[in-house]
Amino acid sequence: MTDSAVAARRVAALTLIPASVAVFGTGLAWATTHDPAVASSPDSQAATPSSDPQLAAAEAKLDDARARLAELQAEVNRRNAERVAIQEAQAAGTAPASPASSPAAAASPAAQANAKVQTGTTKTAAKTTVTQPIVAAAPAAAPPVQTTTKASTKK
Amino acid sequence: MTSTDLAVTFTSMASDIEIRVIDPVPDAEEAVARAVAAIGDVATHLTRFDPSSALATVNRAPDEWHEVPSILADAIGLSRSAHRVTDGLFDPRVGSTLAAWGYDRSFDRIATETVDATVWDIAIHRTRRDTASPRPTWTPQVSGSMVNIGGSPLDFGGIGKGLAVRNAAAALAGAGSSVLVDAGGDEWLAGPGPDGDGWKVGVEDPLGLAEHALVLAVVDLGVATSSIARQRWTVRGVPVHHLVDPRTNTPGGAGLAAVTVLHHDPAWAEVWSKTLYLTGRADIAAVAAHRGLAAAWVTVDGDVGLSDAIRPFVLWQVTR
Repeated sequence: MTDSAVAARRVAALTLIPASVAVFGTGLAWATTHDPAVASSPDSQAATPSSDPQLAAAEAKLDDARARLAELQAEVNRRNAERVAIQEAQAAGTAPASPASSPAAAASPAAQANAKVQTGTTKTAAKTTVTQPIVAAAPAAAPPVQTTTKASTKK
Repeated sequence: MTSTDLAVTFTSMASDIEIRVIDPVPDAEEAVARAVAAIGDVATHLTRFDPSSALATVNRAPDEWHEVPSILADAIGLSRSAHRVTDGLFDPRVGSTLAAWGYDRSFDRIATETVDATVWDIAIHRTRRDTASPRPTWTPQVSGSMVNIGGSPLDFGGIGKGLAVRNAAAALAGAGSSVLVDAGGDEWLAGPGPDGDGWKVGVEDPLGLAEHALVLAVVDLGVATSSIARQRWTVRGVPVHHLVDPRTNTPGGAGLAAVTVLHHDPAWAEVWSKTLYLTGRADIAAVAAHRGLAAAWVTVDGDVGLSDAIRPFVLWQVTR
């Protein structure tokens, strides 16, 4: 290879460096503006409203979700306040006893089924950070009947 | 109930009657007609409130022999057996005591008609004074259609309904996949019922605190309830009811409000429900166990008791 050929290749290589940088920078800028995560972040969405109909629909759903989240948080706060109030009432001895604690309720098959449900509910509540208010369990309702034996209906 | 099921309701024996046939066979309507006639037979001949009935005729001359319809002979024969088996606790002669307390007419008339309170007052206190002298053993005689009831007027108000249900059930045998006969609380429940897993039978709460005290699942059994939830009244301030203890001639069943019995024969379900009621709260559990009866009872305090034999039938029990 001659010296002139070597010089020509070096010039060409040096010329390609800024061109590659330019291409990379352009690609990076495009990718940034089309990053889904960036597009769905509240900040970017608020800053860059889109005219794309699908994106607008997604934004509307996001608004609804935010509103629902706020409602749920308010409900959590309300129930926590209730729980604290009930605990305070129990400490004062004014809360009614749970029907499930009576021997008669425990002896009833229907009540036993109720007790199982209550146990499951208690475990679930223990696993979650959202505590449920303490509600007295109602006795199981009588199943529907097809006839009734009773005192004589003499008229 | 589906549109193809048969259902008939009417009033007889001063009670609401219901007949229901599930999946009726082609000639089920004829069977229902025979069942209605069987109930009418009891209503016609076994009432003590109609002076022209066979029973009223016999009661007017209780020492004499009478030729009677077969249903009356059957009632006397069954009552004699029940009197013997229950050691005298079942006794149709208590009708005279009820009459002395003013229950000598249809029950609704006790509350609506003016009565001679002086006569009632004397009757109730005379009856109470006689508590130390129980009636002698009852020995009626039955020979075919000829009967001699042994000198005392009879009341078949309870066992009459049991007999009516028994005979109606016989008439309805095979009329459908399942059959219900309800005669004012005395019932026959044949087959697996509309849902295929037994007839769901509510047991009325006699105290009215809940609609039902129990719910039972029943297949091919009779059920009867003896209760003081309705037929109660006062005689000069003295509370009485229609379940008279023949040992004392006073209102029986101390501490009990109602007793329900399951039995394969609806007539005997009636006999045992009344007998266990008269046994009273203190002894009913022991007697039911000794007899092997499927029985449930509600005390005047609202407590529910069960014999071991009825527990497998209990779907639900009220909690107080």
